[in-house]
Amino acid sequence: MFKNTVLGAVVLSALGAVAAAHNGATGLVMERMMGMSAMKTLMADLAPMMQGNVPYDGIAVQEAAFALQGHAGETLTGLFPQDDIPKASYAKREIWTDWERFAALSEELRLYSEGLSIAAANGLDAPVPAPVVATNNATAMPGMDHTAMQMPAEPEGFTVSELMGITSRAAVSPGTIAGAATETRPPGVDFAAMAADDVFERISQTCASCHAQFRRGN
Amino acid sequence: MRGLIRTNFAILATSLAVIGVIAIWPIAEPTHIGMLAGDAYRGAYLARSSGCIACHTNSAAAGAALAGGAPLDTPFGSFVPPNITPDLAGGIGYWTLDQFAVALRQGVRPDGKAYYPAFPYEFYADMSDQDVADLWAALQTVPPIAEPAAAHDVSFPFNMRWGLKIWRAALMTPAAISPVLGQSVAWNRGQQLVTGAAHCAACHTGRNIVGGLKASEMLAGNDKLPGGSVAPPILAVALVAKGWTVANMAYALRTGVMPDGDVLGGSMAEVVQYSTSYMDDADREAIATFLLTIDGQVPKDVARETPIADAGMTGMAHSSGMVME
Repeated sequence: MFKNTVLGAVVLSALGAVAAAHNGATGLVMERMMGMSAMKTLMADLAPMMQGNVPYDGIAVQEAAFALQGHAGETLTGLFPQDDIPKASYAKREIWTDWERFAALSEELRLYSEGLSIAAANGLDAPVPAPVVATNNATAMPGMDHTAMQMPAEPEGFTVSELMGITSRAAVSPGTIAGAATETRPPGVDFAAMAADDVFERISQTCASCHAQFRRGN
Repeated sequence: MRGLIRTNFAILATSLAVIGVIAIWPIAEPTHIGMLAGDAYRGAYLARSSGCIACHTNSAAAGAALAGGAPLDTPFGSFVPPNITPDLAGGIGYWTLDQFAVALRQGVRPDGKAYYPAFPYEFYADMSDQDVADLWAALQTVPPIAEPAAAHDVSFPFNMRWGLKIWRAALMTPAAISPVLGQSVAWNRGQQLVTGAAHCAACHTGRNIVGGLKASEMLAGNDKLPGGSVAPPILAVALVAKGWTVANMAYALRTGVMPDGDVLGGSMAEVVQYSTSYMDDADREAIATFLLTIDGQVPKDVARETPIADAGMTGMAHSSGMVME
């Protein structure tokens, strides 16, 4: 399976390179577009597994995690020297005006990718159950207001303080991270005790956080 | 000459009189919720789902919760989401529950002036008294911040708030959500979230030159979002054509990962990060169910798949030919 993944990544990277070249991207811009394209392919392969929609393959997950790790950290930041932004680039000026944050997210991606390689063997079940978002099994027909809808009870989901943004969910729950400038990686995360999909979610949230701040367009 | 002066004076006087009448034109309908007790947890969940936290907290600048959001740059000017902490001076601590209800559902400030539609009050118009009381209870849990948010920076003529009354009369479209009995619980809940609290149309629908939503283009996308962002169409046919299913859309609303492996960016990444990722799985699936319904039903190949992976057998791939007894 991983051979297919790698092959797919190579093919799609090549297609991405062609597309990028057609858009006028060259040099470093094209290089980072290819890197992003390769990561996208890896994420596309991992996501169905993490949702339980295709059979879980721990070895493939581990190898994909290593590949993601190789694209992250200083490898990623090294592709963004301060320069004029060509028209073809999706990069935003904020990368360089808030370089510390960009570099932190890039390093966070590397750490979580490494974490996924460790958690890969656990599959979708954490050896130690981690807090998860509550599931609502409402069965009543909803009325006109939200009162008719059952909402998750506090002990199962986030606290009022987390929901209101008073405390960061990253500080108390290993389920999520990477958001605002104030949210930092919780210390002492034990990836060996986490389910692979929990770590994968952290990777996706790191990507989303970075894209929200530093990439043009949705 | 004297006639011309007289005419100009008449026009000026009439204009001032019209403006004066508009300025004192009452737009708030009286609301009496009274002392209805709210549930802070339900309110907090609703505040997340409705984007209150995302908008009124400047997370990128490490701002305090609900102490004022990041400026929203639009063609009409820069709007700053205000401080809605319970501080008496800087926030809304001096408001009553009834005033809060009017502000939230009708878009009218306690002083009787209209809010700019950058505040999506139209989408909150159908919230129940209990919803309002719950939100109010949740707001009381936030530490008060004395410093008010910066003022809006809106250029002439949009800086004349009385003009908003004309805008409201002509263009305001308050949400009116009716449950559809022939549809599933998930679809109805999705309708409630998409067309109400989560206010998807605020970004995914085009606007006319004075900022009104184009009713004929509802959810058909908007390529002129503030900051140069683009909101794609989220009509069912377009979504299905792009490979969206109930499962992968619910997953994207939780994690940001799209079906092609890309991760959402721009303002939608913020929506996921600060709002939908806090929702429960059922609500995310409800949104997806509503958005992916074509001709009254979700196409079979788009509906929720049954997971086939055996999560318990870690590290093992089950080939399609494997038979288990």
